[in-house]
Amino acid sequence: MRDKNTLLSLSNVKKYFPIHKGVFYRHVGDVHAVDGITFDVQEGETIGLVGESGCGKSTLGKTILHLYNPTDGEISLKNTFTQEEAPEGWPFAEGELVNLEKLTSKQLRFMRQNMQMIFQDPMEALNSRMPVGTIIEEPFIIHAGEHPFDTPAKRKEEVLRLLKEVGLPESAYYKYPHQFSGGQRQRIGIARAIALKPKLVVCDEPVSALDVSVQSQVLNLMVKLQKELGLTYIFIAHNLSVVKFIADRICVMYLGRIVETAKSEEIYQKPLHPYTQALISAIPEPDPNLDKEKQILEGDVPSPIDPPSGCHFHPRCPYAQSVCQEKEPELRELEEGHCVACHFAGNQHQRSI
Amino acid sequence: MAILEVKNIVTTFDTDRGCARALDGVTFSVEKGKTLGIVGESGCGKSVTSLSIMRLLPKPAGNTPEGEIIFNNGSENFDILTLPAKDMLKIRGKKIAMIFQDPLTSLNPVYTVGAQLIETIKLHFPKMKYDEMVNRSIELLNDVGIPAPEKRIWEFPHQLSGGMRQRVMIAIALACEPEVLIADEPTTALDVTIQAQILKLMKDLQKKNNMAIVFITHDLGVVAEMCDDVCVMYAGKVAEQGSVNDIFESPRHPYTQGLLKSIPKLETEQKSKLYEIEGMVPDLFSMPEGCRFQNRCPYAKEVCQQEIPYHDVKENHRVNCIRLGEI
Repeated sequence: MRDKNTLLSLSNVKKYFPIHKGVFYRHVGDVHAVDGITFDVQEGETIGLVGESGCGKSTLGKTILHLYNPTDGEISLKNTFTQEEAPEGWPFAEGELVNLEKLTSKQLRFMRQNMQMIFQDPMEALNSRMPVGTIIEEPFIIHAGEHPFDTPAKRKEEVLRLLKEVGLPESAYYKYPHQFSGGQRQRIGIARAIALKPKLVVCDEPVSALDVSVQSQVLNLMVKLQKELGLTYIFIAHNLSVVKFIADRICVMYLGRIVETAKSEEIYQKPLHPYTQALISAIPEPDPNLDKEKQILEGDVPSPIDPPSGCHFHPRCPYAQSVCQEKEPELRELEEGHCVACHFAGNQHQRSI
Repeated sequence: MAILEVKNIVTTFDTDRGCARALDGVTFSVEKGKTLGIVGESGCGKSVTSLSIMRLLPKPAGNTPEGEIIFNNGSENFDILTLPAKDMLKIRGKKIAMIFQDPLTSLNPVYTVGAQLIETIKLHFPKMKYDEMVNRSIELLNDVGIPAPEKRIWEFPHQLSGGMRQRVMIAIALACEPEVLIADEPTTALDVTIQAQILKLMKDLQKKNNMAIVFITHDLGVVAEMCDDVCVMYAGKVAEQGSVNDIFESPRHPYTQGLLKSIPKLETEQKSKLYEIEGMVPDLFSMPEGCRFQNRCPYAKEVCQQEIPYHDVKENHRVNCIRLGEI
């Protein structure tokens, strides 16, 4: 899989949050938020991460950007800087995959130009006391010296260009976030994320808080920007129709692990993992005549503090057998590019939805 | 025979910036055992509609709505808006109950689930014995599919998961077997798999009690699944109403058409350009004259600036668009 087009590579990434208790702050356990995730992302690709709340998709997104330090595993991002662009003493060759864990804080900050994030709730992600112009200008100031916009005049020109690019009027420059509607605020968040011309953008539920008529505007914008700027998206969402629309490849997560990954067309036509099947059948489709058979899962997602043994999904799985309690299923490649973590996938209980 | 008939209600709020007409002539009706869906974007007046019916508008800003809300179950027949406040207490919970969007903010965190259920039962059946009320509460929790209800009843809301809390809310709403249930975005805060569970539960309970449900949501997928009739609201007005098949198969109002076109469906081609409804909902204080959708409407013309009447496309399918015949 790993070739020169690989932009990001995760190998067995884990993120545990420790739980402490008592006077002596004893370590009594961990929240297994992300529990061994491995995948590669190619340049220009969109990866969709889906799953229920609490499955670790947002934690994974933040861990990829090293906003959280991973407990274990390796996250490598391709170094796209040429010798001229890189700062003095930059030890990596162009095109080399760089393990982010090994970078010094200065080097990591330099790398951050290439990885940005779009947040779910734009009102919380934008400083309400700053005018929009200052908000979008901020990345240029933080990364001073790493881009050609070194004077205030040049920066303003660039911010105005960015505003135009995301479809906001120039008058937005002096306004404050509260003067905009939800969709426009999300555009501001997007403008800030693309300011430094990143390669990788992690989008954490970017359209979940928006109304349907505005949602399509923002999705169209994101597709347009991807084509123009060659962005690679990691798109985190729980709305499967949206993910299918934008993602090339989808990873379905359950309790910190990937249970199925495939091309987005394929995952809908032929879901192989029982969880994916249930998830897809649960989507309400806007068609009253569609009488699809619903597979309704019993119960709730178990606690990630003490996840079930073996296959994490076995307490809710309609096909579970004794082996599922004992052995953790590996992610097996059943067809080209279609991997499933289920002991029985591919040989029984398969029914199409 | 419609059990709840909302006739031309106008709800206004007094604010610092003047009088805001949040609802401007909303009319619909629900029959026994049927589900009416109210859909629209945020700020279109969906929730104000439900609060108007329950007479729960925030005071003093919210004025008592104009118009009529007729409740008629065969034996009783009255206008909710003219009832004295004291009589309203007997209606809420007993005749018309409500489920709110976020169960964590609507449940009281310092009381157990049982205490909150018993409070509702006690209000409407003051002579019932305590043991009976406890048994009834356990029965209700069992009905809504909570495992081990005799244990769960003495737990606090924070000990339950999101889906469980919503089930408790439903149990409280159903405690006195209401004839009309208003559900204000009951599944918006839940995951799809849990949403599927709750929707199925509501359908089952509706069949059992022959309730009428007013289902408020912004998710068109949920509407298609749950509802018999649909009201599409835009900026305080009903843009289009009709049976679920009419609305989804032959929408006539440009707003409904746009809304249906703009959602990505499973069969939508990947990264193709989605339909966009340009612009955004106008501010309540600067509504355009005439049709409220005109500044976003691809078909808008000068005629749209006058008062727009409702047109009946056919029986039980009304559209609020003056250019209906031409589009």
